[in-house]
Amino acid sequence: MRSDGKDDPIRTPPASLSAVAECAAWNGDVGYETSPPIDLRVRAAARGDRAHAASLLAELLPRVRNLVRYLVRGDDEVDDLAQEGLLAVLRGLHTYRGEGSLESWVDRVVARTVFAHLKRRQHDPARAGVHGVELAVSIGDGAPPDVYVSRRLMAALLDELPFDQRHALVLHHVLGMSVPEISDELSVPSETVRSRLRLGMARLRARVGEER
Amino acid sequence: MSTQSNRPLLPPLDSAPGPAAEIPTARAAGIVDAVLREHGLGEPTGESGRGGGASRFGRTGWQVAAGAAVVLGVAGAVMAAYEYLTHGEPVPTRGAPPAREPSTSSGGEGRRLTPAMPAAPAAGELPARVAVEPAPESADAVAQSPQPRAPEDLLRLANELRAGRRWRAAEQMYVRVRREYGSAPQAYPATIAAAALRLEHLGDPRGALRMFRAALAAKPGGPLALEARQGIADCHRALGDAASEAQALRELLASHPGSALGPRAEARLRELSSQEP
Repeated sequence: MRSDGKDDPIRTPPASLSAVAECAAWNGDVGYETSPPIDLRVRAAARGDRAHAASLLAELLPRVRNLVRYLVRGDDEVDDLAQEGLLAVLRGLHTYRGEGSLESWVDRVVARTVFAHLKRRQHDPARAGVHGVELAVSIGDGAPPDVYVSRRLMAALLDELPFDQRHALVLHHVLGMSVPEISDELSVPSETVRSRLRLGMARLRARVGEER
Repeated sequence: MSTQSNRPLLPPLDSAPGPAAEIPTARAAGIVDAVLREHGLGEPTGESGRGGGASRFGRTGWQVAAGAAVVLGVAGAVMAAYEYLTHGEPVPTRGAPPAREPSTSSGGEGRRLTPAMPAAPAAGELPARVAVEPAPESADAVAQSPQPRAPEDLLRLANELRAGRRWRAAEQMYVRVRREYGSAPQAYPATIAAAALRLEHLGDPRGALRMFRAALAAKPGGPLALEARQGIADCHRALGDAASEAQALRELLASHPGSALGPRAEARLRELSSQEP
């Protein structure tokens, strides 16, 4: 704001920017004319601001836990891998350039963390994991019980699929990745991805039909 | 199982509950705190708030492990916690894992909430020595035996009972630790664990409230004080006492500024305020 009370015509941010990005622009933190706006909180967390990092992680945790559960069998490792995934997110936050949504970026980081863990575990068969306890739905945060239950059951059906089909299904349907993107991510040919999707979905639909 | 026709088999990812099992807020806060600690962002101090050494960390890894064990009852996490308690291990410094820290298969720094299983020997390789250990005694046998037991043994068995979903038996074992070894370090996490079981699985929020309060009174600034305060708030909520719940949340925020539980506590306070007539 100029001293005459009028907006600075050079610094006035476009109306499409979020309020947070507007603050960043006014503060000179974001060159919005040359790069996409990035949530101020993300920038602060990347700089080591504990409060912003804690707030960001707390907000991301439910999504991250859900993604991990989609990718691994059972509940035992979900929290450990969610922790590992969030740590990878925090460590790599300074590399997020605002291209695409933060959630999509986080999803990719977490997925890669899980895949790396599963690959390491292939060579360590003794790591059976600790059998955890399925907790009842906690009080509060009232989730529609039918949605929650159906998602839990879907994860249980995914547990029956081979990992290659499961991961292709999750990357495509849950994360919205295209076949070429999945092909790059998993380092397999596109035709292999399509085959895994086809076979995996066929098995999933068959199991869903059996459950009815 | 039936799926509604208007709901996709695999919906796009979101933060709504499912498919990951829901966890109590204290558990979620413990995960966030552990990540922050591993990243070098310990509890905020009066200074910059950015952890530079172990002495500035308000909560150490074993405390988080104990907190995690309260909620999930993972035997290894509580083992790590009371190992610190009983052996008086110093607060770990950054980059220098303590001698008793459980190994992690990933090799990453920091402590996992659940300890990694030890790596198996390579194919064809035999361990240098094969120790023959007696079969572990069952928790039932210990529970029924009048023979005195060490508090760490009772705590371990309580965790095993909890892992086996034997809520009542686990709670009784935790209470036994508290009753027989009230002055021992193990009594504190045992009290919190028993309280959590009463609240979450045994339908006894009043009993849970007494135990959370007892733990907080015993150690107002203890390593599980945050969990105890959150537990008190949850008990009041279960009892339908909105005023007491709000007071408990305000005390939590005042006592633990900057904790990962803060945003949720504030959100719940706003929700309670909006419900006032």
